[in-house]
Amino acid sequence: MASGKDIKRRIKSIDGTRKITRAMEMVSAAKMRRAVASLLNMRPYAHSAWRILTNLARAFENYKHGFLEVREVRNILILVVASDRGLCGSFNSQLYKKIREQLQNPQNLKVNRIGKKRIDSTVEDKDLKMDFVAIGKKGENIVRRLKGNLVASFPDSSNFSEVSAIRPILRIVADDYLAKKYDKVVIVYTDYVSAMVQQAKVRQILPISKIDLEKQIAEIDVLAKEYGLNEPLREYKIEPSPEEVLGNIFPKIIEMQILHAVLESNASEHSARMLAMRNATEAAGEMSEDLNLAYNQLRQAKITQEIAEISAGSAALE
Amino acid sequence: MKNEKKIQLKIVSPEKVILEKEIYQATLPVADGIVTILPNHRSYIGALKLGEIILKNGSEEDYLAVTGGMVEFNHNEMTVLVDEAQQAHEIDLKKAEEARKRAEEVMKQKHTLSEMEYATVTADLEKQLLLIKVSRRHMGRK
Repeated sequence: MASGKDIKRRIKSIDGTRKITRAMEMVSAAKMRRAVASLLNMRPYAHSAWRILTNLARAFENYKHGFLEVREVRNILILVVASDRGLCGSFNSQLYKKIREQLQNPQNLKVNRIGKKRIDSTVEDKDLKMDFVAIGKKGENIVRRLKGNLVASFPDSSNFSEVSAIRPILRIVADDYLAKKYDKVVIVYTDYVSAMVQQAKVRQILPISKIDLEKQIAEIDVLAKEYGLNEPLREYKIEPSPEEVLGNIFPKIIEMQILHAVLESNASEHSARMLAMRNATEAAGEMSEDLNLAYNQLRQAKITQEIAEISAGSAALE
Repeated sequence: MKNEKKIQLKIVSPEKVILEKEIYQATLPVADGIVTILPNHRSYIGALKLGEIILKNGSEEDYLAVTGGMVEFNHNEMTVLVDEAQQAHEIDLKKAEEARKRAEEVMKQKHTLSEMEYATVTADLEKQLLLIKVSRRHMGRK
């Protein structure tokens, strides 16, 4: 049995850990609030972008642009949005599981669709070529564990809360798609449902699909649903031309989608960490209580024994 | 009640709402040149390029440097979507000057740059020049 001194030492170390996890919980809570606020800050932009797109809908229908081109899926680019640091519960392993699931059964990945148009790939599963872009340091690890081909890695995902930081990613995605290097681009990220619930999600970025876009914008801004693409068109003067304005707005929309995914992921990461740290704090508290009990029992036993010895000694003297 | 003679303006970037106010006149750098919009202008959608937005409301004037974006105008409501915009009084002139010098230095070593780097530096230089211009104009007014 451990001596009193050993138990005392363990109690002390556990209490120390508990203090740290509690501090980390509070830091994560503050960071989470900030991340959620920046998500909300995106709303007016998303709302307006959606309205402009809606008003360009007529041009949209017959418009030919590289981003709208639907090809048979042979090469896929997968963006993985993960965290930089660990200690956030199952946050990163959930992402890993989600991606593995998709890779093992790539039915969804193989279909390419925009609205009603849908092209099933005839390529065998094993011939499907997949490349990965990792955002966040742990993203690299996930791709490595999947034995995926990593083409680019952007560590330090917490810095990606600005549009300018997204631009290098956009360039890879847009240029390679237009160059037909990839036939489909998807992003895997963790959707922030609430402080308790986060969900790993897969979203198509390219080709630009109305359905996916509508879903994601509805997530950013609930009001945007009112601006369905069927709204009667107003007579707009469009300069220089609808084609050019659309060509201009598409990269912005992709940028917005990526930024949105990163912000959602940031908020999820912090709330996952907050929860993990809260659990750790509770566990440390319980452990410390148990050890305290054991220590007191040991101490009590020692005192009883000493008294017994003393009284035995004095009885022998009489 | 909404004032029919004025434009309700909102300038937003993906990060935040940059400016929200009532104005009388807006001059915007669109792809083909410069467009000035007054109240009751017909509905308008346009692409913005790098340039300066000038807002007038009576004798009050605002200048903003923008790096490109989109504008929508409808029923005296104007929404400007921008990547980045700085209001004249927010621009740090000294910083912009320094950044310009740095960019010019880099440009001098043109032959050592790849095409991509050259394009990035050129874009940055243009942006800094614009910031300086907008900031100077603003100071001249005061």
